[in-house]
Amino acid sequence: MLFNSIEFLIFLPIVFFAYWLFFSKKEDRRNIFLIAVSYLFYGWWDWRFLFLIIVSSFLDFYIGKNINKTENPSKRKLLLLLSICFNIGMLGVLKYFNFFIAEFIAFSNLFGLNVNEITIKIILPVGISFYTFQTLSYSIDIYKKKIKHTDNIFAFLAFVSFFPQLVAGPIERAKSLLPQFSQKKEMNYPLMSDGFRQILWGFFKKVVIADNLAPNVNYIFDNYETLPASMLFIGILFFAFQIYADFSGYSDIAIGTAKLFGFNLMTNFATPYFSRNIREFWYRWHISLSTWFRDYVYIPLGGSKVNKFRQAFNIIVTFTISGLWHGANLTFVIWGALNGLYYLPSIVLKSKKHKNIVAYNKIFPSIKELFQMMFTFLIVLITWVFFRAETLTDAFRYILNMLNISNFGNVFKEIYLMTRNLDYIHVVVITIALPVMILLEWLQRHKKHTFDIGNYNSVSRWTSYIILTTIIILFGNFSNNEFIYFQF
Amino acid sequence: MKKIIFKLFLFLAISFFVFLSYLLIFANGKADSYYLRFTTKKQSSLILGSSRAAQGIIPSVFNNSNFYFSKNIYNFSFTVNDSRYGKIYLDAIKKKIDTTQTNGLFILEVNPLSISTGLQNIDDNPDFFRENNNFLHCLKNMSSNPNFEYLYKFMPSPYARMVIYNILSKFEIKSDGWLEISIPMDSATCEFRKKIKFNKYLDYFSSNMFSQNRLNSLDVTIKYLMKYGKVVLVRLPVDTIMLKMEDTYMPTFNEKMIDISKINNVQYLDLTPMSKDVLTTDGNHLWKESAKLVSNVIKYKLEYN
Repeated sequence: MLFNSIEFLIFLPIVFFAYWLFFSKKEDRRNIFLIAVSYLFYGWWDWRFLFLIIVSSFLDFYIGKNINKTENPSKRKLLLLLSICFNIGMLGVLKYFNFFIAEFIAFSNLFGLNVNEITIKIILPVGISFYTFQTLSYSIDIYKKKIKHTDNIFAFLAFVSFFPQLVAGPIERAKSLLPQFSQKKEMNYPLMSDGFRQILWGFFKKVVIADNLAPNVNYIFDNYETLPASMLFIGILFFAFQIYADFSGYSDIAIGTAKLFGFNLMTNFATPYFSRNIREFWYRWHISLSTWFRDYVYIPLGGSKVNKFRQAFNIIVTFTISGLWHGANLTFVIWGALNGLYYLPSIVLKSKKHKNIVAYNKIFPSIKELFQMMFTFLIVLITWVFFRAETLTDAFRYILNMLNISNFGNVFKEIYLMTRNLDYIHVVVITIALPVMILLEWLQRHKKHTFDIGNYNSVSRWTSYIILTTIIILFGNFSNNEFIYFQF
Repeated sequence: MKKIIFKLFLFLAISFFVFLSYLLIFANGKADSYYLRFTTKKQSSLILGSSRAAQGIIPSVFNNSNFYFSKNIYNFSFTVNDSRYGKIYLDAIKKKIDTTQTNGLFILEVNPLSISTGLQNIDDNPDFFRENNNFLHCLKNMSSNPNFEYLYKFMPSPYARMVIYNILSKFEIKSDGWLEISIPMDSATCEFRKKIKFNKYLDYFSSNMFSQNRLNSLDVTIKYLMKYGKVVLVRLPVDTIMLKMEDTYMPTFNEKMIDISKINNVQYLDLTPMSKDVLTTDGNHLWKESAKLVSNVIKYKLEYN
């Protein structure tokens, strides 16, 4: 079920009222209810893949229990390996089998070896990359004695399948989310109102910004060979905002929905395009994934407690794996590696970590901060070409064409031609709505989320709700566009 | 809980009120070239057919005169792709017709493509007719204002486009269902549009063939409508070049129409001899002044024949 579907608009209020009226009082009843509706939410897409979630959940539940029970190091290690092998194995087969086979064949052909092509038809189950990482972190944390296992199977199944964050995160840690399934739940009006506001803002970003940018981005990437440099730059600029609005919009809806049920999920995006360097960017972009890789890949590799050369290696490896996590394509691998390379100067130069948001307590940034933000944004833009392109060849040619200033072209004429080929309304909406989003995110960058207006008076709040809802209805593109991160 | 329910209800009510007000102001004949036809009440008299009829037969010519036929006639024609004669169009007509009346008038515009099917449909199988999944098939409700079903399923979002269309649109569906097009009619522009349209129709003619199933459907449609009033078949005039192309594509079209009209004892008006006396916007659709003239001719022929 998609958040931006009519089914979800019916599903959510029914589940919300049923939850608070009949199921919220008793822990087991509440968790069983949440498991049932979460499976329904997931099964709406394809019920056959539910068994993967169930198997993965039960396996990690029992592994966690047994790791905790024993003090025998080799037995503990064996159990952890079982969990890693199962989860990564499942991910590897369903997501990467064809990719690795194809790359292996291409590599063999380089040495003149003829290897027969083997591919199998695999449907990638939605959300598998997210929930396997979530269950995996549970087993690893128990192994590392950071948390204790749970004996409550219902709480654990609900933790793995909790529908707001099941298919595209935030990837939660057992330490923060699992205990919430055992806490007493009472209606918390301020939390619910805040959740509702965050959902509204998420919908704005998804259906007004991301989905109106999508046709333009698709047009430019589909025709990049014939378009001038100026349009290619607009294309990647649009994609940068599309992917941000799409994914952070999803996260806002997920976090907001969880709040309606009395749960707090972690922040996943914190105005990343206002970062002063790449290091800060990665502290603000897809936080739940970057911290996952930090804790379970980077630190076990030695993290920063090794020599500079090894640390640089650890960073490149971590980012490259993170790229591969996004998809079985070399474009993602290069995207990850490039981000790792960008990160290296901050290690070499020992750049300090920014503790506060840019222009803290000020309206405008300093000239230096402005240049830092613009530079960071520009280098991030280059990486997005790899993320969006179908193949590496496309990505390199796109960048080369974009840098070909001799073919800069007439921007206005090209945009006019694009609107003739597409629907001009999307360009009209974006021209108005995108600057509004950037401005509001700038003004509210110190808040938990952009539409955090709980401290306003009721007239201002209600006026804002109605205006934002009207904008969503009138300017939203409701063509049932999937969220980009569903494919990961 | 009460507080939540109250505030949620208030929020939904205000949002709905704002949206409804917007629809009542902007969801009109300029917002979409079909929408308004699904917001009017069921009709006792209908003009049916392709976009030729949608633009070329003006209901007000019949309704605003002392025409012997006193009932209001409504234009329920769409396009050559969406409303060819077949089960889908007939089912849509059944949903739009007021079956409590039996003295209606039904003007069925016919042309060679309205009884054709794609070449790839080698068995002339109605299951493969191209309109099988269009709005006429999917819409359950064809007479509610606002028509939320149409808005949700077929009005392309963002809905803000309605405002822009209200300002810039060159078309407008009138309250009687007629599609009025207001575009420049200087000869250079018309020739340009004709060139495009002729090429498009050359493609149509090379990718379509006569369909016995569609002809049978026309027959079924006539028989069904005869229960509710008088039925007349009309072939509208087009540009002479377009007419030649049509005659090459289906030389026996007029005979087929004469046969079917005789079988059902209904009138067939072939107005193509008027082709050299009318102006078209693109070789295919009558210009609004010519549409007035042709509608008056139809009215005259119905009155005196």
